[in-house]
Amino acid sequence: MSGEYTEKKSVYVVIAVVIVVLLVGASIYYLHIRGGRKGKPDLVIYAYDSFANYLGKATIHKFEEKYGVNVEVRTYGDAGSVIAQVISEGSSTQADILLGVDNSYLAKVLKADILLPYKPENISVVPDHLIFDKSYHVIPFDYGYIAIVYDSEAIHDPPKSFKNLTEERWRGKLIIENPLSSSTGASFLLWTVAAFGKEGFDDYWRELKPTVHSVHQGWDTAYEAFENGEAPMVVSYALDTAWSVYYYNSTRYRAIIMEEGGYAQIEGLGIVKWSKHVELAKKFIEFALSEDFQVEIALNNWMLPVNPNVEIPQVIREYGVYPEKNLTIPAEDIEENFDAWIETWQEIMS
Amino acid sequence: MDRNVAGDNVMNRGLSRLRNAGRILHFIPPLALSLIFITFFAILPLLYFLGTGFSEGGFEGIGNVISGPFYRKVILFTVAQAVLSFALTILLSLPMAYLMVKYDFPGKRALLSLTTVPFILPPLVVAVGFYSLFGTKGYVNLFLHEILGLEYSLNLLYTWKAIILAHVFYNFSIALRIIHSRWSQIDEEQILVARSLGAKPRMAFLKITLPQLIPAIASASLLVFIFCFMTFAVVLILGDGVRYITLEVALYRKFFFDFDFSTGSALAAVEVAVVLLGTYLYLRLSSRWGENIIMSVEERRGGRWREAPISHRVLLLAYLVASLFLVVGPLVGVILKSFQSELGAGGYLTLRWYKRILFGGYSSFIGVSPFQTIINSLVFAFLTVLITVPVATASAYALRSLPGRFRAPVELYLMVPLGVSGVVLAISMRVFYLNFYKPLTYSPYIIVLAHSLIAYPLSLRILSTGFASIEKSIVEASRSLGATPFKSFLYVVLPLVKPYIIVSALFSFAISLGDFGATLVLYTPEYTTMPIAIYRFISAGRDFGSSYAFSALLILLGFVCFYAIDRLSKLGRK
Repeated sequence: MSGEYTEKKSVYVVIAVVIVVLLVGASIYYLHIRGGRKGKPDLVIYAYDSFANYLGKATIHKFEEKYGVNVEVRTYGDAGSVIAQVISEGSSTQADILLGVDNSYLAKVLKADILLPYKPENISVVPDHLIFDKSYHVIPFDYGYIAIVYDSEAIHDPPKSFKNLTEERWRGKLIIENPLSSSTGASFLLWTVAAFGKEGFDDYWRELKPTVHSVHQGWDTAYEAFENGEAPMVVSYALDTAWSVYYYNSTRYRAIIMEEGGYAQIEGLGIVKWSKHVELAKKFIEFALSEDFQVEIALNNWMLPVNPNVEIPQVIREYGVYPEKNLTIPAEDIEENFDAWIETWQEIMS
Repeated sequence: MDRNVAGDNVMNRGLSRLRNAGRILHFIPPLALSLIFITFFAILPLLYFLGTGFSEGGFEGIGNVISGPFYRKVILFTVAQAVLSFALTILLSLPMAYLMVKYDFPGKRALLSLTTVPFILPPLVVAVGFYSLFGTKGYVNLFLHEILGLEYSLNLLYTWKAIILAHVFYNFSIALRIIHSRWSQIDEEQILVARSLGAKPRMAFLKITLPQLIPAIASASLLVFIFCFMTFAVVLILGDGVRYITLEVALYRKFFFDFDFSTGSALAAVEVAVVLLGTYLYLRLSSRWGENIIMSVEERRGGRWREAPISHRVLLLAYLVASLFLVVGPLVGVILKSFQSELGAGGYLTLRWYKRILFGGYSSFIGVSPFQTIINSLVFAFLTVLITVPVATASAYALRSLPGRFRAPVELYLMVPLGVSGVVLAISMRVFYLNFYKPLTYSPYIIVLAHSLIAYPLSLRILSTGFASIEKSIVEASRSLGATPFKSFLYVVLPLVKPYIIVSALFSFAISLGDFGATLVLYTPEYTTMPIAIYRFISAGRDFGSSYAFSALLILLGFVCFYAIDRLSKLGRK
């Protein structure tokens, strides 16, 4: 009887082992055919993850065809993760180009000393206020205005200025991102610094604090809370309305730029210090400023091209909002004071 | 002839010496396997990556972290919330384990599988689950306002209470399953004997059941405490990231926003130290409890639910509803959202999100078709189980056989990955293999390895609890009857720890299926997994409907897989 039992059991075991082996084989085969990698790359770009599906997909092939080369894009989460990746890989990195350095990261990237300076020949097309790194380690390729986005079904007369925003009726209505972990949040903080000055922004935040509904780790969780109706306003981008018209044909969520003036988050790219393909990398920087690349920015990255010769798609001209006045902060100022501003902000908000 | 006898004797002696060596040293191969696995895939990469940080800032970094008032506050908050979280988790899971051991009721297995689902949910999904329950327009507030007609609103979100509740939500099933596995193996005869000798039920519980449960409770407590100690996403989503900062949150900012690797590495070192200290205390304590408890191999059969006294039934039902509200409620919230046309107020019921993700083909938001990501997730999860469970079983076996004084240091060494977040582990592996073995750096197997390392400490703890419950004399008896170590392992030890192997396989599967942090660092578009897709629908597409529909699919898939694993474990059992 016990013999029968063991026999039956060993049949089960054999069947199980065969199934597992087959599954392992299938899995390995599957992973193998999924990774249809191209040949050895001539140029490697490290970028945040949405670049691969959008802007990268729309532009890289043009560069490859133009120069007959093979470009590989590697993505690592958000901009912060990409920069951390290059820093931690150091001299063993395979990156030739680092893409995704914005105003709030600029100072830290320069300090980490991971990029080569290069002044592109066609930088002259870029308006001066967008050239955010005068040492040319980081070359701007696009920019976008930070805005307050509100739900038009919940709010009928939205605030128009930073001053309005502190009124009692907006108590607990605004979702913001944490400047300690989000570049959107950092840009919003910089916007208030640009509007109220180094001396005045902390007073403004004290007045704004009651308006803040919650502080979020990143743009995605903030926007999720907003979309779920937790509060009717969120710090986001000026092209948001254009975006929802384009994808969902909806104007429910509307962007506003404060009357005090607009502040642009500028994104740039640079040549990695340890690149072994510097000449090709330089060509890529020139390419990023050229119309071939710039024309794809609006609908793929939902930012504005830095090259003003490029035509902006109608949906963005019509539904995007634009400031009457540009507010800026000199790069040296940000470099020197950014940490102190964040600390002040943290003290006020905690 | 004499010579022959002598020769035989020599041979016999040689053989028996070999056999003796085998008897003593049989733990060497599994031990070597475990050490190689942890050393090459975790310790060396971590030393390499964190070492760069230390070489910049020296060990001053650690001093600054421990002595600074800011970090002291952070450490204090991290520990305090972890203690509250694990205590509440254990308290809530104990009655549930009791219920499940004591009674058979319809849907018991399914319920057990369902409570495991939260464990795999990516942060953005947990957030929406909590919004739907506790948000401004959540069910609780709707109930208060519309049905009770109150003015009062419950504002749990963005407070520490929300953090603790979310931790219970996440970790409930770990505690439940570990305690339940143990409880259902306690020999009922002991209790019957005690009762027949006049012990009151409460006495029998305190004197017989509880002492046998303690190792499982301790093991569950340790794990839940450490998971809550290492918490990251929950604090950022349901806390506010300003008033409530845990060590992991501070570390993440140092590495990925300030690029201050020396402070970041110091924080990582403090985390590892605390986790190892906790594990060490646990090991010291657990060596004092009687480990040699005879357990029945057969799972206990519960009584019939209908035969329970009414008062029991009412109480238990009330408890069941309350705990399920917390553990299953957010899941239901996500599923309901996935059928809504508008997420805020208004809208109608719709299937369009499901249509889009199931029949939409390639999605530019995620870079592949959603279906593809389901297959990717399943393949990764399957391979993860296949690596984690055998290695963890080998480790638990080796640890059990090791001479006492070696046990603790080896076990601590093996537990190191528990003290490191997935993101840090992933970036360390990337950087390390870039320098030492390039082919692995960009292969999908690095994702499998990362998932395996994250799942390994949990599996090891679960299996150690299992191995600790085997009475050594049973194994010795089988050996003295002539079984080789391998045979005795296969036919005596393995069947005894089988329930624990199933639980650890299940959690390895779950960890891989749900991993977000490490995968986000390591994936390339063709290897997108479901949690990444859920995140990308939102971050790239603001397509919340599709994201929640996909989350609902992940919930369903998790549930089906857990249920299948639970069912499989019953096969072949008489």
